[in-house]
Amino acid sequence: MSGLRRALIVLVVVELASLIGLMLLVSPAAPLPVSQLGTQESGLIEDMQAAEAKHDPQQMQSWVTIGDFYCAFGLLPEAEYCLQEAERLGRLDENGFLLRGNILSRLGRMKEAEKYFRQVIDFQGERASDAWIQLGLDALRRNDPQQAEKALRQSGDQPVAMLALARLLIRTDRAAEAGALLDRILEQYPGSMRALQLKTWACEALGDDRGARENYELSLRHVQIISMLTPVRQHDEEMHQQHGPGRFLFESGKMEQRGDLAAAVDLTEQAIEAMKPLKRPYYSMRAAELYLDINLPKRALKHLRLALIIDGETAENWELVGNAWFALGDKEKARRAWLEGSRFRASKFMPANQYMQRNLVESATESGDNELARHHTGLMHYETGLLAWRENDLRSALVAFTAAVENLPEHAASWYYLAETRRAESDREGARVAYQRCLELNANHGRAIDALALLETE
Amino acid sequence: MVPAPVSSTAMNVNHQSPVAGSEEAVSSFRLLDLSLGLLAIVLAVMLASTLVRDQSRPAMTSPIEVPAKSPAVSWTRHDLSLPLEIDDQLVELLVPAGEKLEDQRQEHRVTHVQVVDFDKDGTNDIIACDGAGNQVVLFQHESGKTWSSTILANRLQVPAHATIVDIDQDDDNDVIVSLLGNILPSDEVIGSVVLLENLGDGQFQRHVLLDNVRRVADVQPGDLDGDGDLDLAVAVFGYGRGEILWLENRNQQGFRDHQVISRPGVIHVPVADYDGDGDLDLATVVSQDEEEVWVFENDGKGNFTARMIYFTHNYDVGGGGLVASDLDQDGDMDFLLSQGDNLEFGHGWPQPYHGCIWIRNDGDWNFSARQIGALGGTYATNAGDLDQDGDVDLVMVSMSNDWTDSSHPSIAWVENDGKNNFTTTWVIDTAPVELITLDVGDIDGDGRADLVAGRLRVPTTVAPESTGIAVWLSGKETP
Repeated sequence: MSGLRRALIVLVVVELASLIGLMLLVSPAAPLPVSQLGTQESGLIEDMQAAEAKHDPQQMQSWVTIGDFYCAFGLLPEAEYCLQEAERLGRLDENGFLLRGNILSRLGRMKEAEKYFRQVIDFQGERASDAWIQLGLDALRRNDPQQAEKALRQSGDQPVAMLALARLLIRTDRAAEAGALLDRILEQYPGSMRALQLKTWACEALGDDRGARENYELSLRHVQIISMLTPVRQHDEEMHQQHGPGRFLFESGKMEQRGDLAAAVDLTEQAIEAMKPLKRPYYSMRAAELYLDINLPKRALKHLRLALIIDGETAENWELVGNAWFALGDKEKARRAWLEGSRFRASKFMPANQYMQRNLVESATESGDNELARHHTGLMHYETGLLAWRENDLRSALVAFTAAVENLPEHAASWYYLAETRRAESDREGARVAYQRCLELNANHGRAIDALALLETE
Repeated sequence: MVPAPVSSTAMNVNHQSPVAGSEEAVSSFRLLDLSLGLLAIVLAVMLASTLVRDQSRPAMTSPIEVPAKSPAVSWTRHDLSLPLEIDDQLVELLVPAGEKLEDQRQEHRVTHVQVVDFDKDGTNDIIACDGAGNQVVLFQHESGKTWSSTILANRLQVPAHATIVDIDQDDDNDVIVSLLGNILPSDEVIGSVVLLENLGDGQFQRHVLLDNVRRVADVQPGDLDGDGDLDLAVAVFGYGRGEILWLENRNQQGFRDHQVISRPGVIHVPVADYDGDGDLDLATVVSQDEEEVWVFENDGKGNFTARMIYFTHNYDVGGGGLVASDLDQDGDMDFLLSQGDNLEFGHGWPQPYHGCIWIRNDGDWNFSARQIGALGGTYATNAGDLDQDGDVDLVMVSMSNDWTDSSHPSIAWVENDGKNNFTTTWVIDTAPVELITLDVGDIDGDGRADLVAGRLRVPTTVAPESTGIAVWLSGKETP
């Protein structure tokens, strides 16, 4: 064999090897899609870019992972593209099918999603129940109550499915069955406002006025909301705690629990930075609280005024502004801030109004104004009573509203809530007296008029 | 895609040199041919792979169909800016000595806009509720694109709706403000109704008409008990819990509240005579996963009988509001129900059922419902004769369309063909985005229906920057 021939054979072998290598390189891997990162916060963009850089287009699981990331942050066409690519590389597992179904469902392609949810069910694994919930909810979205009922009945005892089924049963003239289902939920979650509310409507549908009223009144005194999040939505929440600004905030919470407040505030500042260009006053409020905890009130004030400008005045904001001035030694400005705050109702940090009234009591007492101190003492007890009332803590509410009317006998709202509490505690005569006192102060208090009339008829 | 070398090899296989003769030489030629052929293939594959890489990442095209602009109506957009004022006394409480108040922009949280002749000068004005600045603002068109703004009231805890009515019947317009207490979901008792009594000369005196209730979204006036004065219907939206109340006007003695129904997420409470019996009835949309429309039949004395006239099993439609309108001009009031509030996902995606449901009043308490408009994320709808052809058309605004595609409309109208078929959707504009409130009226006095809409920003995703309130004047060309 001549040298030329040997060289040619080697060349052919090298070329064949190169060809096979190139074929593998070019196919079947596809590139990632152009992701709409411009819709995301800066910190999230960094996390997504890092995930994209790590992405291995040859690996099916890599496509699923990045598709999951896109989906959790609303990049749904990108997520769908990734799952298509994943399926080209092999058969998805149950989590992959659930994700594909979830993406299609969110895109409004419910019929296509159904195919994937059914494949999850075929696995007969631990995600089957989650797939039944999704099937049931999507059937409701298609206005198909029969299919929805079948699916929801298969989804085990997950509260979100039970509540959806109870709603469906009430609407399809099966309120008695709904009532029994709701009783099961209430055994497990006795403080569920939603279950109590649905029970009210089930009783209404059955003509059970007394049951309806009892459940309605109980629903007003409960705040527990059973998670209406499906398992796939809960997964979203977890993703939000793991990426972008949410990651820093989550870590900040952990540091605070460990008592490392300096680290906690530093992480909150990082969260605010990672959130740009968005602004969420909640982050600023949290930073302000932490700065107050580590005695840096001027920094707290800076965050508080940013939150106030962006989001408007709130009771919570003014309470912390007052605390900041108090920490700075300016008691007069603190008092003024708390007074401003007491014009607003807290809606997130519920004790804010109570705290401000307590501080105003101390301020008035310190300045020797006993009448003003008594006024704020009455309001402080009123706020304390409201906090107990919303948790159905009737004993504490009774003590607080009684103290409120002792200090502030002209406060109609305190008399009303005292009456309501006494009625809930079966003190009919005490309730009657309190309603009447409320109406002497405010003859237009319709709820007191109605409740008094109810008392007379019961 | 590289046939030439292969065919070249094939040709050479049949080509034998009579001079060379030896088999080895022939074989070497064959190998050379094969080698050249493979080399060509390798080069071609390398080129293809380079092209694939250069082709880069595929763009995601939105599957949502984009309507065209109507040739029949042209629009000129005016962008209005909300004033930002913080009292000096408050600034003193927020800024320590030696520091400055930061120059920050408030979020766009326009919760309500309406076209109304507030000052009764014969020209329509615009009233807006600003849920971030906590104020009610009057806009008046001066000339060209110049508008003036006047703060009617501030430091209101998140106004959701301003009702313009002469409640005390002293011949000027008062303002009744529905206060949410918090723009974000909250089930706490933080709502109220405040009357801004018009004292003249731009002065308003505040009266709290209702408090100790959950978040209030709407108030509508009407003589509900037939005693000749104006009472008020109140939609207490709440969150998980809400209710419809009516406030009985007791003249100098204030307003007494009556509960009509307890349901969560009641957004609007339009008042009209829905059964044509001469008294005013109430209606409402129940949202928050219930997705029902109720009408409350009045016996003329303020006693109401509840009738559910529409519901859907689809908990996800996202009821956005209810407008009473005689869409088919048959003399009774129908309803326009907007569906498309999917903020609970954070990243809402347009759904096939988003748009407008026409709940047609067929008489004798019979209603029939059908979807007449489709627009992703529809939050508000309204009606008006936009093309001046004598019938009533539909307008819709979108809160959460797919804003990554800048061609997607934020405001669109659906043309009535004169037979109450709503088949053609026309885009009006693609900005501002995230619109939740809409009104129709002749703002510039040319007899044509103009539009005003407001933006509500919920900071879950980054969306295109824009103004908070936009006005579209009909039939005008931009100067």
